[in-house]
Amino acid sequence: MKLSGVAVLAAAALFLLPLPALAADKPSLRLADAPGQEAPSDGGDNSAPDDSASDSSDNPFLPGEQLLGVSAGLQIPWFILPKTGEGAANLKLGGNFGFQYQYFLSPGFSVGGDLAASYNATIGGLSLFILPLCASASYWWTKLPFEFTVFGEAGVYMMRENHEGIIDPMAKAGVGAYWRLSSGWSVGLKPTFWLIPEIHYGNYKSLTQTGGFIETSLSAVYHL
Amino acid sequence: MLRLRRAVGAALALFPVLLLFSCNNAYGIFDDIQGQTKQKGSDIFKKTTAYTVFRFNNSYFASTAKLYTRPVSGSSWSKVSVGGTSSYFLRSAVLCGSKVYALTGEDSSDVKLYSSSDGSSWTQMTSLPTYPLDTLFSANGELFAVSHRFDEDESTNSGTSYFSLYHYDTGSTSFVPVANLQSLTDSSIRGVVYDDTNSRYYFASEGSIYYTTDVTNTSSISTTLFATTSVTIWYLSYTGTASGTGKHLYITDTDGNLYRDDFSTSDDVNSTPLSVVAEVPYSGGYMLVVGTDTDSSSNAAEGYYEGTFGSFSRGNKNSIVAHSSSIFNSTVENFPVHCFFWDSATDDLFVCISPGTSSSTYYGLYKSHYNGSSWDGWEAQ
Repeated sequence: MKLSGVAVLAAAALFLLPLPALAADKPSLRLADAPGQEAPSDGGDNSAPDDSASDSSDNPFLPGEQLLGVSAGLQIPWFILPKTGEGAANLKLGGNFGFQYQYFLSPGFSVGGDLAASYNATIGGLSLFILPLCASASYWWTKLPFEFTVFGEAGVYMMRENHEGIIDPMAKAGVGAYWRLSSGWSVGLKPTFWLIPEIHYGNYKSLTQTGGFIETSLSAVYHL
Repeated sequence: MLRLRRAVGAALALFPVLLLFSCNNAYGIFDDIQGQTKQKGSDIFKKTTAYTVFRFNNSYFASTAKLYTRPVSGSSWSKVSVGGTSSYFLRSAVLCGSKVYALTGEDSSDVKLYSSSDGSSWTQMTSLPTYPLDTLFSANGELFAVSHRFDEDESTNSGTSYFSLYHYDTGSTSFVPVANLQSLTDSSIRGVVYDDTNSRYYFASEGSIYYTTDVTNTSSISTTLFATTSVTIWYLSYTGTASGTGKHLYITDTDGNLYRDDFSTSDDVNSTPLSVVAEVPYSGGYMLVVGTDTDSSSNAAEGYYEGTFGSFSRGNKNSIVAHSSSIFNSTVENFPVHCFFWDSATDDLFVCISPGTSSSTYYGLYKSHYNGSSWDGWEAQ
């Protein structure tokens, strides 16, 4: 089926929709509950219930916690619309790399940033580079020993090809599934949809096109 | 944590700088990508320098270190067996009159010259000059050859090269020295062309240009036409049509200057060495294409330039011959051009380049077809 602009927007919206309902009523994961973990000690009595413990009963990601993430994987060209030529078929399978930072504002909900880079070769022997810098909002929950997240991002990207470049706003949306390796580390998969509108103005507005990519990356998250 | 903050800070600081150098509203990246076509040339020319192309009867011939041919109406290239073998090193090949000449031999002691009247059966020519031949030229149906002698001074472990130009005399079937174009020490011969308007043969070394009206009369050859004390001549071309850009002698130099007819009329095309010049049709009229050669300081070339004398612009993906869908930047863009061959019978322009080895998608020979109003774009051969 030929992709239409409406279909793409609908797909993007699906990705962007926050799905907090999925996270509701999930069993909590205290750090002490993670495999091979011990509760973090601040010198106090961890066994005693306190306010923060009761706050985390629904979600173990507490306000003030921070995450650092690094990811790398495949960059799959999905579409270029409107299709004036061969579309995304003229792009080869590529790669991506990224750094993420997140700060939890409330249980399970974090905001942060994402600096990434992707590369795809073209069939003409050229290279397409995309460097997004995005602000992110994420929701995390757990189901032992796994952690899950849905997130959306918005920001700007710089794109280079054929010695030319452009900067425009962009959006990402994705999900992640992680296995909590230790008190500090989680590793998992993080498929993400990149929506790349290439916007031109004035006499060149006919060049405006939108690209869609699927990032399928392995991700490691460090819990600060 | 401090290191992390510094790294993030550096990345964030770098981003606006990158932004400043990254915007071109007039260039559609996705649009360019969608318009690209995959180059599917012959493995013969993949990452291989092509030096010349010519048409002989109903076949094209192209030279690398071997000679290849294909039917004009075909697309498959095959290696030409010269002198009964396909294991040879091709020094030079030219079409001259009704014959094709091939100069072979990787080692100077093994240089052989062959001629063919059909492109498939070859006859070895004898009575070659004393010193080995380097290259062949053809002008007005006359064959010329350059020989190279190197005298080594064993005491200093250095030496001097001497270049001599010969004309092939079909009457005596031997090579005759072209008057005082003997034992040149400034350079080899950079070009031999024939001006059919003035009935002159022109010969260029890097420092001088000579001409004669009678190449067979060796005693009268050797007039130095131009004073070129500040110019290093790089290529000599004679091209154009009376109804087009006009028939002209074109001289290029290592500083990117293009001279027409004499050194009093020049066009500062660019700053890198220029190579061959050819006239091609354009929008009901004609224009010139000027190749570039590798700049010795930057070790880079610039593909070619298009335009008319006095007004050239660098060929790019949106330029005339390349055409927007021809992915110029991954074909000819930064490579030296060794030949243009315009086949007016098929309206095809061939370009020979040194494609480098950085990408497997680069070829040494491309063709662009003119459909009467526009060009189809470069297509790997």
